[in-house]
Amino acid sequence: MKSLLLKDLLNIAHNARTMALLLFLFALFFPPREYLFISALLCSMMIVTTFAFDDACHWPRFALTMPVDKRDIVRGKFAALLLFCTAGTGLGLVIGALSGLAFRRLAPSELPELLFLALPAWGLALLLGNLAIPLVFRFGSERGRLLLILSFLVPAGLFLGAYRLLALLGVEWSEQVVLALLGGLSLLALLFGLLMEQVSVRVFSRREV
Amino acid sequence: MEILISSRSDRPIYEQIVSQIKAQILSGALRAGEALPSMRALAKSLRVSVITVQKAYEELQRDGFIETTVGRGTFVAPLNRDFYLEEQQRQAEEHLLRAAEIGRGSGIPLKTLQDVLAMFYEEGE
Amino acid sequence: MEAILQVEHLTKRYPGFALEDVSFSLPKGTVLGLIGENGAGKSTTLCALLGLIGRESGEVRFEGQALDGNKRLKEGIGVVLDGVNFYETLTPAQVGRICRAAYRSWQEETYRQYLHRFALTPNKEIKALSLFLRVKLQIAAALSHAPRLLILDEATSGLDPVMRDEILEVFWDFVQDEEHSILLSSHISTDLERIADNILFLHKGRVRFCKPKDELLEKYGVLRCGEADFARIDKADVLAWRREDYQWSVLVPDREAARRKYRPAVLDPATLDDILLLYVKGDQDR
Repeated sequence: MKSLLLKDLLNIAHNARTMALLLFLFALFFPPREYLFISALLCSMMIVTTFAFDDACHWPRFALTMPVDKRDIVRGKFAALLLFCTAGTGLGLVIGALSGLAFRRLAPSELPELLFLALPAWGLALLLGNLAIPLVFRFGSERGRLLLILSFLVPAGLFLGAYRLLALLGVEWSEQVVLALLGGLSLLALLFGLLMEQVSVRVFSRREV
Repeated sequence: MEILISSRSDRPIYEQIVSQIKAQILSGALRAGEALPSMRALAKSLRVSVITVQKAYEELQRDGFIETTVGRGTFVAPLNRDFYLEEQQRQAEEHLLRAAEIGRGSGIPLKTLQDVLAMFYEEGE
Repeated sequence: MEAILQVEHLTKRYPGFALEDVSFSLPKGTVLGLIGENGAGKSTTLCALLGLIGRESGEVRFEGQALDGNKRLKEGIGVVLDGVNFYETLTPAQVGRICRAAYRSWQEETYRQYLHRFALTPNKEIKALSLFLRVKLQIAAALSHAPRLLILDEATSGLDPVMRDEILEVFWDFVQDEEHSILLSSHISTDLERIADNILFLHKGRVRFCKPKDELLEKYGVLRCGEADFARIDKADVLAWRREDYQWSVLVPDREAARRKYRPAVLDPATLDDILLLYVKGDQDR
């Protein structure tokens, strides 16, 4: 599995420069809170790009000639996702905070809040990535990317709808509840990841490489 | 040692190897005790498969031209040259005897058989 | 002779193509060449036996142990598939790092020597390499984890004769060790005519024969004759035949016997291409 992770990191390293440029550009236009989420999500989506690289050189077929099985390939992808999400959140936090302070979009007193927001940003990025991996294993990187957008919009829409409905019904959201929900998101994402790993192993073992 | 392989020839490659090594041993170009390359090395040099060389070496060994010692390699065997030539001549005489019998039995003139033999002999040179 | 690889009853069905009941064994220290027309099932056989694709049935044993579900056994097998399998922005040095992480038996020094021998610059990206260098990169990676078995699927296709000779030289070097064996498929039969000890012939997903190459080249022949002579040939003496414009070409398993029996027919030694062509394009007595 280490070799598979290394392969993804080396492959994606080639894109790192473009990605860094993009992140710096975004930092000019987005306020720190949004920027944090954008950075985390962008980096998490690099996982789909790694699949496109693999497909381009028929990597999975070759990987299986090494002392590697399909379960290792799946695990390698989830490990890469964890790294991408963490790097994206970390970068988003640092660049977001620096640019926010520089452009006076962020008061130094708001830094702890931004720091806390890193947790849901990481969770959201991980959640999306977790959803992406089995989809791409099943449908390939091209169709998987499309399906991913759909399958993310649907639950997001439902969630928003539920939130509105509860608001209409007059349910009050206390700050504690919101904080707990945001914090819980990352825990949820981790659990969801474990489930999706099992799903991916199932999906991938049935697919021909 | 020199071995010339023709892959277009009708003669099997292992036979080409056998006859050329034999000829070089008989002519003294290869001396008793001299080391031959390993089968795998010769296969690589001649650009042929290992089994082909193996077959050639087995035949050479069977005919007493070479000796293989496990762990040490393959060597040209001490050869009783006169004995070998006598043996070869005896084999040739056997075939000629058969030819003579067929010729006499069906009335082929001696001269014709002699010409045919001369033709075959020179053709091979 | 002890077998390094045993394949039994390998079956893989696709819509429109099936690999049916492929069995063979590869003796240790030998080279087995896989021939067959395009679509005969050469790649499918190699992929199915390596477990890269699923299969309906079949058992594969490497050095006596079942290969399925035993990924560590793959340490002993070097594989080169058609084309390069590392993304084009990687460099040979990075390929080495990935492989080192994958194989416990990885030998960095061996890999370095192969890169040197193959004139591969460690820090040049794959996309800047010629086809020849890409093939050599895959071969270097396959040979640097001390494999006992090398499996190559059309590794030399697309290369010119000079390049192919250099690759074959590497294979000859590999089998200098009596413990080493090679299984390779190629549609360039002259390569197999040189290096292979045994030939496995696949046709329409089935094994037609698996024979020592020397027997094929020394015994098999192609008999050429006219219509009237063809009618007189005992079909039990022939393997396949094909009618051409001005002659019949007939594949015989024993050309000396056929020469004696069917004088004055013209008889040529059969090349692997002749055998392939007559089996695939010709007719057989069934």
